[in-house]
Amino acid sequence: MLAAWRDDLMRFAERRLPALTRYRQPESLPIRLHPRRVYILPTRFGLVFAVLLVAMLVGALNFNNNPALLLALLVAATTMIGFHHNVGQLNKVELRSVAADPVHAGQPIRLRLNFRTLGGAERPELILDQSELRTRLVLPPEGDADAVLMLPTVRRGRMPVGRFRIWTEYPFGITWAWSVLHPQAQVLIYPAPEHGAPALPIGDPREQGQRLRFPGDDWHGLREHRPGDPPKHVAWKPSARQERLLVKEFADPQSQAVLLDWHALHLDREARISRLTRWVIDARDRQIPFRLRLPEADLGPGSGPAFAAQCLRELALLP
Amino acid sequence: MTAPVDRYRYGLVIGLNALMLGGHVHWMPSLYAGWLFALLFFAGWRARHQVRAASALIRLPLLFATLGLLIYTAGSPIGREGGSALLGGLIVLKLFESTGRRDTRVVTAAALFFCMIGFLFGQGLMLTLYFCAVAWACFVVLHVVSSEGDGSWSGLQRDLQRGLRVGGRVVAASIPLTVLAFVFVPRLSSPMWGAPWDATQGKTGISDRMRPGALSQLWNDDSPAFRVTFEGPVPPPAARYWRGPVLWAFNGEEWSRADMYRATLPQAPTYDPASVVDYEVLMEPTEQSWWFPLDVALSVAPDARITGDGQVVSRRPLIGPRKARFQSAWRYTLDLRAASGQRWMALRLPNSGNLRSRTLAAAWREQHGRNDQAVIDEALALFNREFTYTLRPPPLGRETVDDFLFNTKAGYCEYFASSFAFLMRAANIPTRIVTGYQGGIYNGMGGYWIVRNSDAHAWTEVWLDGRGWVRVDPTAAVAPERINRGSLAAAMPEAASWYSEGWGADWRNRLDLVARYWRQAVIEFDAIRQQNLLQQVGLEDMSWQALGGGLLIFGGLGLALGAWLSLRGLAPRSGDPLLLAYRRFNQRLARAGVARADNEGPVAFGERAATSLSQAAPAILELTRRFAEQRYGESANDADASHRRRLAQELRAFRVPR
Repeated sequence: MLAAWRDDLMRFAERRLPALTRYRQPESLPIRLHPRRVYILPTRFGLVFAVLLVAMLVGALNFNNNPALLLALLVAATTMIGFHHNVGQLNKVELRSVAADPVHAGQPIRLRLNFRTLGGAERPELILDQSELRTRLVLPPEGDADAVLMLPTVRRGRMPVGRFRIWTEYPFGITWAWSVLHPQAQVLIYPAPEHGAPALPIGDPREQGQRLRFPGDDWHGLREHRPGDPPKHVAWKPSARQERLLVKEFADPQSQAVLLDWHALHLDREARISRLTRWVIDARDRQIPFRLRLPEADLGPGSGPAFAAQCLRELALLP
Repeated sequence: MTAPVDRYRYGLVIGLNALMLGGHVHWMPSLYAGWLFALLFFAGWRARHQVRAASALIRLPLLFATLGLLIYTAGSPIGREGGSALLGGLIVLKLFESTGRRDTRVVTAAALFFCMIGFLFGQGLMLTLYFCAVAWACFVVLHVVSSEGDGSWSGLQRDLQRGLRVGGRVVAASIPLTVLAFVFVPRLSSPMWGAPWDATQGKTGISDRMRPGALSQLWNDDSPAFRVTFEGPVPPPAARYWRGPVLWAFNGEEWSRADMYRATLPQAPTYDPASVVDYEVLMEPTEQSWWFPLDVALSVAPDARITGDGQVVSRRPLIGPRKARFQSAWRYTLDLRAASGQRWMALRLPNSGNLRSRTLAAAWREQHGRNDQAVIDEALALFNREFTYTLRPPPLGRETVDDFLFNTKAGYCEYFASSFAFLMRAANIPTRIVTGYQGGIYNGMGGYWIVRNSDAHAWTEVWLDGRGWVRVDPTAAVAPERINRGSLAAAMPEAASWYSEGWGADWRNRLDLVARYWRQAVIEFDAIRQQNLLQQVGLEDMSWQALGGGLLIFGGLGLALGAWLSLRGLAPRSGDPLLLAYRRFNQRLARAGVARADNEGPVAFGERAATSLSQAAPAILELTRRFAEQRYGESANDADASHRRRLAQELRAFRVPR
């Protein structure tokens, strides 16, 4: 009996107050706010104001002072219509996307939440917060804007962005309307680089010799024709002089590529990741080509920010 | 402690407080009001560079100075005036103590509350409009201090513009709800607790004491005392005496009532039936209990009674505005056989003082023997010969009657009534002083008579054997125009002409008509009127539940209407005027039988419409071509808006010829 009643109550609460239950779970983007999921409560000032207003109404009624009653009713009516404006600030606001450029664990990540309005006026006083972080958001009418929050990061890998509260005290500060946003979005956090790591394991270039990769882009030399060589590579003039068929050969020098090898490091797991991360950053910054060998992947050789980002991503997502 | 608001927002709150105080200067002691304005100015000056809370070293002296000044000017910090003035002072002082965002909001809310306090001191239309405007300003300030802003002047300007717009819309949208709630909010038939001030402390209107000089503030008070609507003939000007408190006792300086005559029953006056008038009096609140019927009242309001000396006293003080019907006769005989106690009361004089006056009266008595009328005429002739009427008489010495009769010889009705009554009593003629109003101005537009506080008057009644109490107005002997045209006209004949006649009077009549409507429709709207109004629209059941239900239903409707109006108004006008004009153009064509399919391009549609409506084909094709050019062509991004505007106008002007 009691349990059935409680279930009914919960179902009712779920139906009427979805943000207390359902919308606390992550939702897929875009998240659109509608009146059913916007709540409104008086602010602390609103409570003071309510006491004053009740005093005004009771006093005016008691002394049958009609102009005073008119004023008190005007104030009350304005306050009540203000409730609608308060909720209207959040109504038809949509969270379209959550994005962030990856950072290394421990650095704050700059989270950009892109909002837009689906109708109505400007939203000049929206506030987005997550625990102690808070940012103000001004949404133009029928336009979009980014809210930026600097979230702290701790661990590498994919980080769920978590739950936000969006609220406003507009227009009079008497009430505040709020809603919960819990987007199903994750941002990538690179591993933290090791501090004081050994230098990049660059060996002596002469010792390593000229390692070439065929075919390549740079002219390397001539060699005898083998069946299957493309005819346009045949070097006709030298061939005529030598009276045998010679072909031009192209190759890329590979002498500078550093091997960053997971298996060569004898450290525990996170320390290895941390050192490899440091080396990838160093190699990227010094524009040295490198090759990253991981337990289940072999990347490169390669160079440049895009390749480094790919490597860092693999490192971040290591189990 | 929250961070202080920026100085512009703080200045805005100070300005709001100044606005709020502006609605109170009419009752506050002027010195105190000036001090509060000076405090506001000081607060603004302190915050000229940066807003900071004042230390206790500044706040405490200011608090004590304010309290001291309050007690000095208003008497005490208790009671209606004192308490309200104290509250106003505390609100202003709060500005020094707290500068955070929440504190400025609280000050703003308190200012709103203090606006309502203002209605304890007046309920006129202009005052109500003023305070409603201040309430709007309060909401604007609440809006502006709710946003944190960037502390710059341009930022404040932007926020203020938005606040004015949003606040204006929301307040305007709440008017229907306010009016509905005003009609439906259940009224109390009797107050739950009494007035917070002493009901006999009122200072407007006539008091029950008369000390020559004390009435003088009333001359400047042009506010209405009461309004009268006559049913039938209007008594002549010389008979328009509105009877108030009757004063019997004189202590040498001051006249006061005799309480014994409040209880005694009146002797029925004999009167001329042709002089009977019925009328309705609409009384402004005085917080006292006298009605002012036309002399002499025959029947009165149900909750009032006639005393032995002809006053009409209400059982309840007239705290709110009241209306009552009266019947009076203006040709009458009063107390033909006065009781000897009455006559004795009307002959009493202080044991000593004013010897020259007594000697003069005795000389007249000697000269005329038992002829009372001759003595009266002697006195009136003296007044007529040697005295002048002025609203600014020279001050009197200790022997007020002697000083007036033999030295200053200038004054107004109180001076004449007081000295005349003294002379008569000294000559052994029973005399009493009647205070009240005299005159009245007809408001032709409203069809009623208005009697102002500046019409306050004092006259005498002498008891003559065989004639009863006979009214003698010594002021009339000095300045007959006082009786015909009013006190201001008598004192300043040149200034009064435009004021009581001509366009001045016309405008005053109009304003008073509005004031009377306001009084009847709003100020007097009580439980009974609410019932009458709702019965007219078919709501018979007037229980609290019915009123509450009506309030909920109609209030909900009003709220929805207001919210819709104001929110809709805030949404930007959707789209381009050119597109709207093209839609209008499409509607016209659709009405003529050619509707555009949603996926049909303008050019294709134009051609189709032109073939169906051949009579308008050139115009349709031309407009469509230009529209397509403006909207999709190379000139779509053209900055030349005049072309687009002209095209939009032509699209709107297009009609399908029949």
